[in-house]
Amino acid sequence: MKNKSKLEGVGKRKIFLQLYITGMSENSVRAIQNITLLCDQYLHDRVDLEIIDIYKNPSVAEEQMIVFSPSLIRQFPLPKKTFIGDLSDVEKVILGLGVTLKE
Amino acid sequence: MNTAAAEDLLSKMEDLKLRLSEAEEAIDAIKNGSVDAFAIRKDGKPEVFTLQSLDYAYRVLIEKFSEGALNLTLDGLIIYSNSYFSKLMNVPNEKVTGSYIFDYIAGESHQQFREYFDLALQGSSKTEIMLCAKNKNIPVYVSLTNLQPQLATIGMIVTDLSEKKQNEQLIKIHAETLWKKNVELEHLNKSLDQFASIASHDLQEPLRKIQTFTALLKRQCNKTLAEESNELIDKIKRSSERMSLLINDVLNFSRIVHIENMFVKTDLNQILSNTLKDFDLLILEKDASVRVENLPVVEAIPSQINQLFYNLVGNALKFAKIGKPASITISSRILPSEEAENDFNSRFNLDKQLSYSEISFKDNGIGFEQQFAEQIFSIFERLNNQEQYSGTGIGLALCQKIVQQHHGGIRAEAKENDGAIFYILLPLTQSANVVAN
Amino acid sequence: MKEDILILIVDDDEDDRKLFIESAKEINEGIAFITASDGQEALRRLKDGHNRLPDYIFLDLRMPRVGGRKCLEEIRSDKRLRDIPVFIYTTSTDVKDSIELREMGAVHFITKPIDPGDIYYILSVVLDEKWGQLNKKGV
Repeated sequence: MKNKSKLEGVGKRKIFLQLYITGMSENSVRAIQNITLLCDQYLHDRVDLEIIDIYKNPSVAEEQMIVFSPSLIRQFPLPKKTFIGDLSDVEKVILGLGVTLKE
Repeated sequence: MNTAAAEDLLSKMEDLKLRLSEAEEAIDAIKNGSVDAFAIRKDGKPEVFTLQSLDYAYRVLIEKFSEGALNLTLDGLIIYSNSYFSKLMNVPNEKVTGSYIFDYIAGESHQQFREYFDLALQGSSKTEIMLCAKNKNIPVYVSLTNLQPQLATIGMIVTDLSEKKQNEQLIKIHAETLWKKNVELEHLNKSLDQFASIASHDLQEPLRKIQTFTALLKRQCNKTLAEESNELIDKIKRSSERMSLLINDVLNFSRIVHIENMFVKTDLNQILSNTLKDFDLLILEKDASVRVENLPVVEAIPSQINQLFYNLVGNALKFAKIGKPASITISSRILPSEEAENDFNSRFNLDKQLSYSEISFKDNGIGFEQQFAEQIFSIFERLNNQEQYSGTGIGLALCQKIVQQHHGGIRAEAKENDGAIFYILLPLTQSANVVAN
Repeated sequence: MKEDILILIVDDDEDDRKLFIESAKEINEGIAFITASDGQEALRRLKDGHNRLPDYIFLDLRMPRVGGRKCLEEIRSDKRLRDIPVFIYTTSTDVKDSIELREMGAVHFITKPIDPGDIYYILSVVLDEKWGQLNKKGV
């Protein structure tokens, strides 16, 4: 029996993600690659993804206390969740986001 | 402690645990290099801090691209130079850093560089200068940018122009060679012209004698010689007259190759009306009617066009049918660009950039078979016997040469016994490299 | 027609000189001729004080050593010679030559006719008394 995530019921609503990068680093490149993979394989059209360059938009630090690059923040559904790094641990991200793993 | 307070405490602890784990995560991430930078609010303003050589990628870019890149203090001290620049200057990179940019500027460009460097302090500037690398001068294009307020430095990009300069030099050499060849060619033509002039005169001399003494002979022997003998003398006379004409025509033909001739705006209507005046008498004799439709103004050599029209009108009258009044129509139209490459005109290699006028000379004379339509333009080619129609066989060859000199074309359409049409193509304007002299 | 006219004919071509002289004689047997085959010879004859000056000079253009042009120049710049009427008698049909030489002082520019018979007519006009008198006044 599968472990139903408490969030699955809310799965109908879109997940809103923000990926913060710096544009020129290896880490940022990897993070983009990984989130793309993630979205294609597991999330499909259930997700709204925004990619933000913190050099160009340092004002993101207004809302958060600190924003790392690269990092992925789930703004919705609440509570906010942050994943720091290049997201290479895909499973951790998936579980963290509360998405059911497709068979 | 009551339950409410205990619960509150627990929840606060959970909260703290969460925040701690997040902070630990962040520290781990920093430690293992999986984050490059962070944005944080400092003194109320958001700022970005770079952790590791995030600019690594930018550095790679600057190091690897094929331009010289330098960072200079406001005094011109080099605090950074990429390997391209140091290689260009043939100096180890370590030596470049810490030296002054002025050490690498060629003497002749020093003042200019200082000017542009100062200009760059106000923003940016670009200019072409000479660098000097171990006594070798290198032409370069430099772009200077003031990097303030972020950095109190001037950024400099250096682009090597050596290859471009080499190419420019090659072009210059080729242009000079071309010019020299042109001068040579002009001289050659002049000599040829002189030669033709002299040759024709020397050829005419003995002819003149033949004609003179034949005339004398005729006068002296007219009454004493038999009719046959008088006829023989006449034949000699006629032959020498023909030869004289021939020499003149050949001389004219050779003269057409003059490169010195200048193209000027020429009203073809005027040239034609002058030509027709020359044929007043003949037109009357042949009871000919000549119809002229408006001709254009083109860039041409008037004397040559005169010759061209003269030959064409002359032919139209010469080859008129006996007993039938000659009818000649001269008209023109602008050649539609689609027709420039059709079967008739493709052999003229017309310039696609130019507009052409197609002028037609139509007559109702004896015509000729279409199969001979190209042959007739060859020099000395005739389709008729000398006795029937006089002529040296040079007329149409001369027309073709004139038309070629004008970068146009000429062709004929005809039917045996049913007249002929001669089409001449002339560009309205000559292309620039022809007119410039 | 004056008796005792002296004409200098300068031409390198023997036939042309002969034809000229024969035609002139047809007009007036009394005409005397001196000939020269080029400008140099002609000038020598003219500048020699012992010789009688000719009444007319007929000058060809294309001659070896000293040609007609140079010869005419010399004649026109010599005080003693410049009053003698000079006729250019040449095979050239160039209008430019005609203009140029007449500007230099030649009285007339005559193209040698093909038919020698025409020489007679030309000369008879040229040697006509009236014409001759006009020229003596110094053109």
